[in-house]
Amino acid sequence: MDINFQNILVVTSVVLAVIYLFKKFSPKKSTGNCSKKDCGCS
Amino acid sequence: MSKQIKVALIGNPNTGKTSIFNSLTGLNQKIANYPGVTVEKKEGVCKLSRGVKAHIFDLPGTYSLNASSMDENLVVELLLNKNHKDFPDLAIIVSDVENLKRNLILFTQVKDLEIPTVLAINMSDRMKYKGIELDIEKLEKKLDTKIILTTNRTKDWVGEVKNLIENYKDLSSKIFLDTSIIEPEYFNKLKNIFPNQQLYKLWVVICQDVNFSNVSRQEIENSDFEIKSTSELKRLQQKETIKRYQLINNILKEGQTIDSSKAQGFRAKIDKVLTHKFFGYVIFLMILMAIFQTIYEWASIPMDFIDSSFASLADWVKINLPSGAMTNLLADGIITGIGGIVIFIPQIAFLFMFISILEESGYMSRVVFLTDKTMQKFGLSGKSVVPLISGVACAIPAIMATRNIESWKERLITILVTPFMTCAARLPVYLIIIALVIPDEKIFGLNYQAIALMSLYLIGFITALLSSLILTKILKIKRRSIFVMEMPNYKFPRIKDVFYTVFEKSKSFVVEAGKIILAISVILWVLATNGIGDKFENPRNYISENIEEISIEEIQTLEASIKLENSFIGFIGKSIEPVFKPLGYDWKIGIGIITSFAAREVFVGTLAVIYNIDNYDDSEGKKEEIKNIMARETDANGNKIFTLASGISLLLFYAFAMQCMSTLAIVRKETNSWKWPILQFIIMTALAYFISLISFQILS
Repeated sequence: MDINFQNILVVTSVVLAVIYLFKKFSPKKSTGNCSKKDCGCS
Repeated sequence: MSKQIKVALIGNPNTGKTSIFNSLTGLNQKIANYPGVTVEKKEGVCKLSRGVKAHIFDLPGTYSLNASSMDENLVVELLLNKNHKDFPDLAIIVSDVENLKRNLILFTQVKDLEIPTVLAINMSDRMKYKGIELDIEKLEKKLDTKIILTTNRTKDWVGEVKNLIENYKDLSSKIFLDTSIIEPEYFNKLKNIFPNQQLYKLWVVICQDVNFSNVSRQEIENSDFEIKSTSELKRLQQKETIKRYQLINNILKEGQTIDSSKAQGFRAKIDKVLTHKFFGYVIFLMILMAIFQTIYEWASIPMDFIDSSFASLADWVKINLPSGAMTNLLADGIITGIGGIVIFIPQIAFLFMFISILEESGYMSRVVFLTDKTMQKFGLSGKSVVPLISGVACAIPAIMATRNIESWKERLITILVTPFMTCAARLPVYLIIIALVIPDEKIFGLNYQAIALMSLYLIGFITALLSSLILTKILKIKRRSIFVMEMPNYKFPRIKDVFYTVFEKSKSFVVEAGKIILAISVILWVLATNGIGDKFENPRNYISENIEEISIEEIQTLEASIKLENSFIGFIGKSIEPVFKPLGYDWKIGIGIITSFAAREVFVGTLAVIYNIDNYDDSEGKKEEIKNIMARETDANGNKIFTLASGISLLLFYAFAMQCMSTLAIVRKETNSWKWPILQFIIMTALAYFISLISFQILS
């Protein structure tokens, strides 16, 4: 792949896409903010 | 900085709070979640005179301040906490004119928190049909508040409400009921120990265990005050409710008259038919059929327009931007991928429009009531009906909605079967496959494609019921939740409210799915246009046909096809192809299935990108619509990829498979265990594979 402006933009887009998907689907910490009686997360 | 007034809209469910919210805020609204919980937070701005703005908060519907669910807890916490950033300067209590007595319980409770209140008596246009007369002056005096008669038919009342908001400081914030009269000895002791606190607030804290910034339940427990057992507290709460009803009854005796001969009639007759155990279902199925039929009839023109617009946009980008990798990514990856999902907006918008009309008209509540009886036969209570019906939009809020099911096993079963319901994300997948393999013809005036789509919705519903029946036997449920629901009145849906619902749902569908599809399209395009090896570098050397006998266009298409098969994505696709081959899918569909584990609708974007890459523009340099490219696609032997057999197999795969990572994550959160989402994923995927395999082998 030649190094030119368009290729740099493509690589940047791919990196951003991977970061976005990683952040979107990586497990999040439970906030533990729900009440004991009405949810199973406690 | 201009002055801002915070206003909370509070009321029982189905009192028309949202209509009032929409009338006051117009399109100046935003929807978010309350921090830490997935309870919808609606906030809007209402412009008043002299640059003053009112921030209106549409709080979740609640019957009283004796909270029993997470939504209700949230209302109580906000109203108790003066330090909360959204603590209201004014509370507008929205009540339904036909259920005024019950609605006033909440009104009197909020008033006892010493918050300035306005009572909005909504649906006032129904008073004449129901024989209701109100003496507003008397009611205002007795309830010590300002009363506004509101309706969604006219806007006359909006100015009056704005005026009251602007002058909220003039409104009374005196309490309605002296809490100590509930049980003098008990409450006087509490008052003596916490002399600087509002008595009713202390009482709510004791009963609810909510976070109250001034004093916590722990503090009360640590003091000399004896809180009493839970059953005793319940008894006192009942006593409080009775006292309130006594006072409200006396006030309504003076301020309200109802001509009971007018109160009955039309609604009861309609209810009898719509909730009939046979005709109720027939009517429901006819309504569903009409909806699906109409979706197909109405959506075709805007869909064709969107399809050709995206093809033209991709052409424009290729012609007008400097040639290079980024331009190709934009035209063939991003625009094609996004276009693949945007095209379904008309059908999704129409579906949500019909659902919204059914909800607004009061019919959906009859459906819940009707199906409750069937649910019980399959081991579920009526409390499972609401999550299951919500699952038609999205499984995530539907699974959240199971939180009001008291029995854990029953709740677990509802969580496990809800993803079988046909969510909006399945819709684009169904629509594209149906368009490819089911003929656009009619039988007895009914479109085959509409029948196919409705059948898929029914398959989802029936599978959810059968799965729950099996799970009930395995998990051995003994205790059932009790389901109590109130039938709202029938009313003509307000166009504006339907429009807001359609707009919000379509926007969130496109924005949420769009971001994932955009990211996946970028990665797919790069993987599909890069590769290693001589076949990728010099595809012309591997064309089996005699080059001199075929046209340049055909040579380019063959070259593109060889390149794609030897690209990185081709390598991955070919590696997984043996898994999907028995179901009738080629490696490109296999890639679509893998990427759509992120979200089902990604499947459509993925196919749009992959099929577009090995397809050359026509002789005039114009891009072809993606549907036509897919319809023409053949395998190495020249057999069509999208046949009736492979299409039905694919439809059934998506009907049964658990293709949604977000749903798995929410099941993990709600069950506090990985066991259930993993089991759910394995069983649903295995079932999808098995049924698709059988259907393909039989049909082919």
